[in-house]
Amino acid sequence: MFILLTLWRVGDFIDWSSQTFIDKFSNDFESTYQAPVDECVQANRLDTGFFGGQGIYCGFKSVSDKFKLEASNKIQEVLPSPHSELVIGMVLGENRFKLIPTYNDILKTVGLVHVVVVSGYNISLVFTLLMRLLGSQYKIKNLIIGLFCTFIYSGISGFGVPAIRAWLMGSIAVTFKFYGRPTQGTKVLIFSALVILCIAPSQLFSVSFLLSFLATLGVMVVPEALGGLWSLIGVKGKVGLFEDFNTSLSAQLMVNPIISYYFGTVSLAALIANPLVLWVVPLCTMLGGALVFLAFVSPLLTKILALFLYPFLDLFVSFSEFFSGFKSASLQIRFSFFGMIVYYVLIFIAIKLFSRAVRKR
Amino acid sequence: MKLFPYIIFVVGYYLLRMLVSLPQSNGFYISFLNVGQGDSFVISIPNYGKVLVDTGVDYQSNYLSARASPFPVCNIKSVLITHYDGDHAGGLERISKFCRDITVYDNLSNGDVVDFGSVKLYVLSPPRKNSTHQENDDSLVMLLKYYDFETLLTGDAGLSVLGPVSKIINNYKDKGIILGGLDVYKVSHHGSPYNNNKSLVDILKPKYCVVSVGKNNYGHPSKKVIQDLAGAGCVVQRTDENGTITFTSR
Repeated sequence: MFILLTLWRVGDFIDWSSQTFIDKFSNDFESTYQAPVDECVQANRLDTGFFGGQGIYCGFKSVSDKFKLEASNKIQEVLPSPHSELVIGMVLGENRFKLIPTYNDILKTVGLVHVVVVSGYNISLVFTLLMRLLGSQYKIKNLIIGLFCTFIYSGISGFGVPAIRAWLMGSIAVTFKFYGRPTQGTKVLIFSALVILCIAPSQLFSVSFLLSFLATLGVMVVPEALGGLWSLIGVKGKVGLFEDFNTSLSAQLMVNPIISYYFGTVSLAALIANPLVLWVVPLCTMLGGALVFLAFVSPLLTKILALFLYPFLDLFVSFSEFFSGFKSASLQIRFSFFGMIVYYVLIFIAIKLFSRAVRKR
Repeated sequence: MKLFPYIIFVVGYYLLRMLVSLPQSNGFYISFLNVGQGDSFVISIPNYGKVLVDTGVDYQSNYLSARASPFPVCNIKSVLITHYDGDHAGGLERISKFCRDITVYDNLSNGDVVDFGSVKLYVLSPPRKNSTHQENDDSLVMLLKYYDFETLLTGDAGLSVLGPVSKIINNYKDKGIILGGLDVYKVSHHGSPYNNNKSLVDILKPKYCVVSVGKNNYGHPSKKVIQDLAGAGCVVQRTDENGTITFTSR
């Protein structure tokens, strides 16, 4: 891994701050990183092969699946549906919405299905908590423990592309920070993509991979260009909802052609719904994490915390149901492959031009 | 992180929920929940609690019944399942996880009376005990009586069931158990033309007819059914158009 670090030179800078919005734009929860359950069962590795290759994975998966099931059952005792499924998705990346297809459709219609994916925010949250517990992140032992635990966490979530990408990016960023080397976000993103493609080249054609990387790229490079566009038409605003709108629009601009090409729909409601409800996601993830922990410790404390968490989840559920009710919430548009390529060429030219204009100013 | 705004939000949320749910919380009402293509009704019974009839497809009955109270606690005491089709019982597993101490009634038959105090449920069908409740015609058909307020709940019962049911209702009328002149008639099988018993509607003369229906590919509710109901003088209410429909009685 460190051979490739020559991609960066002294003076490069990794912008890690944007990772809180990391790509929650995956509609496809299937990942080729997950060995199919049947494969694990058929190979009968759960009992015999714990110490080798797929056996380790299957053994780990069996334990993490049991943990997730147990956690889900406990959360479902204190929160109704779909609130409990939201918590499980946000904290453990477990998509239980397939069991409640009506709400799954609502999330797709309003473009909010990405919140139930473990990604950059979750990984950085777990890492930060660990560092608070262990002390300084500038000690090699702490750093290794932090990276190992976040890797296990991404494994518990099922080794989805967003989690793996976020873990790779985070690992590079903190390792660079440890050695006092500045890094640049887009380069780390490209490096992470290359690593994943080296391990699993078929990911290049996976919707999950494409959405995850394009959304992150969008969040990194589009806001600056959008800033140029807004100032050109005289719109000013850099805080709160407008900033969330900008971030959401940046990701949407990058992922919508892919979603349209593969699924034949484009969510218009996503542009409004995302800025209005995304502020509750970090809070729900944090409180949800505490809820999962308490569920194994004290039923009473779990109920008390659930009382505090419920209003935020209910706001999310109410907004998503409200916006999905509009007839034009989701449009049936299917991009052709050629149309998609033309779109991306044009959008990258526009980003370049507007960003250059902003820098000149 | 500044906690104060979040605490204000939480307190404000619960105050608002209390204001919204208090007027309904103790009295009698029956709510036909908007659960899409499926059935789910909440009956609020004074001095007993809430009874859920059917659970809809997946999460909605759990969510909507939890919303009936300001706090995220289970307020359902009993569940009646008319039959085990997904659109009637799909949410039962979810409900039973959130509500640990509920009583589930799923093995009732003609002649049984479920007594909830001020509310009585007269079971009119299926005719035999130990029905599997797997088929539409095994659906529980029940007459709900709260003083002079009467509602007929039909599940997905077909014509072969609704025919004998009209005779049973006539017997009950003769015995003075029920008054007749129904207040609410839950239209069978989401308004399917194959479950349309016009003579039953003519006998019962319901004031309101509720069709519990959502987006579907079956053509529910049938135009003919709606026309027949309106022709019998019934005000037709649909959950897909009117949302959750609630009837109260004092």
